[in-house]
Amino acid sequence: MGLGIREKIMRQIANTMELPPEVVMDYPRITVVGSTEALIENHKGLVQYTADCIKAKSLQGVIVVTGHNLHIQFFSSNEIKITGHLHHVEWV
Amino acid sequence: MIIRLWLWITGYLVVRFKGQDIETVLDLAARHGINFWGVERLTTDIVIGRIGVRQFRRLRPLLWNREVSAAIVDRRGLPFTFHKLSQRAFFILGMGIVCLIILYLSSFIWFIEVTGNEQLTTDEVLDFVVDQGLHVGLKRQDFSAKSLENKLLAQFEMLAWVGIRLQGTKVHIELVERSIYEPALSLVGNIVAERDGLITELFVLRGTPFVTEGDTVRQGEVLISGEYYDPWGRKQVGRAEGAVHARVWYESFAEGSLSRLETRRLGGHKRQLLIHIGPLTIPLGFGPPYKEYSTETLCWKLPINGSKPIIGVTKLDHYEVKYTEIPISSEEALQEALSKAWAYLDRTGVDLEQVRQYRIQEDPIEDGNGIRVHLYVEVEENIARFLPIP
Repeated sequence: MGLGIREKIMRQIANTMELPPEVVMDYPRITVVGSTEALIENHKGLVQYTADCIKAKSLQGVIVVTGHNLHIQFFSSNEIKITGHLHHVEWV
Repeated sequence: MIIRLWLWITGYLVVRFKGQDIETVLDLAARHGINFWGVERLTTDIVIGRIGVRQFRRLRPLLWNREVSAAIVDRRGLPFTFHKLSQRAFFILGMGIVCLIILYLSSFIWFIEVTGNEQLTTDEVLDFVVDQGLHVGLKRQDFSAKSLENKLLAQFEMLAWVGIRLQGTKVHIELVERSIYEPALSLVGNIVAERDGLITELFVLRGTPFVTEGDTVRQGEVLISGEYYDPWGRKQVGRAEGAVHARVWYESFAEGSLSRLETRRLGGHKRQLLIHIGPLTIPLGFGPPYKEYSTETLCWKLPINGSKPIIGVTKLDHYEVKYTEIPISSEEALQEALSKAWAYLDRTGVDLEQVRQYRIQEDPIEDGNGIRVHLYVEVEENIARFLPIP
């Protein structure tokens, strides 16, 4: 509940000051280029990596990228760059 | 791209992770500032990743007490390439020497290309520029394009423009020839005899005939004059026109041998190669060691468009032979001599289809080893030739 209040306050600040929410509220940011590349920023950890599915934690749940022949082109503490044939990007 | 380039410059390791829950290890490593590139899952328990050289030391402590092992499977990048090359000093030395040789050879002219010539032959131009000092093997710094352009223009009057460019080791000579105008037909002149003959037919289109059918004429004699009188009786001087057919005679002679040499190979064979590099010819192998031999030659030269070839190989196959003299009957020798005589007439431009009659005269040869024949042919042809009056 405390997180909910904090989230509301931060969202209000972001809206008032017109700041990017992913910066202020630490939301994940997902950039998809066509169906071959996806960049997940502000993730909170890698959960699963197979050639068909990649799961990463975020503050708003688990991000699931499915497809086939998936590779992690770059992996750091706050970025995952995924290449391959992407089918779905969803939260669970 | 920049990250990959930086990784290659600083060097990186290809690491194989094996075990269960590799994702946790990767995640933990990322939290400790270790970044991965090119992560691929090979099997359910093997993942390949690429990390910087210095980061691998920090990865080791993170694997303690975990069911994941990490092993280096490859080392890539500039530092490792340098390390490998440093162990092959002679290879590096050889590469350096090759580079120096290429650098040295590129200071010479190796190709001369001529374009744009239609009336002038390429060989004519190349022969001239070689005489002027431009040849394959000349140092680039000793070559002056401007001077050669002027010399070419002075030598060949038909050239309107010459452009010479030095492109690397190639000299490109571009020519533009003047448009050729046919000289205007002379308005005044006579028709004269092209050669001696006996006139058989005379057609006068314009002018006054000086001869009639049945006359014998000499070469250069006026047949139809350009001076004539018009229907009103006024004297005109113009261009004579017409045709004058005459019987003319040609002569040729040839010899036929009463024996021929028959060549029989004895089995001996020796091959020799000649390497041509510019003006140099380098023989590989010795010449034929036989007293009597015949040689088959096969020449190959590197074809270069518009330039004389500078590199070539000639293959000489020397066969040991024995020459035997075989006698030939006088009839065969006569036929051979006659064939040669007819072929000579054909080469000199006589229309053999117009031959009316011919006569053969046989002469002995002093050494008695052959037959000499004289062939006299009579041909009917147009002997009219226009000669302008200056």
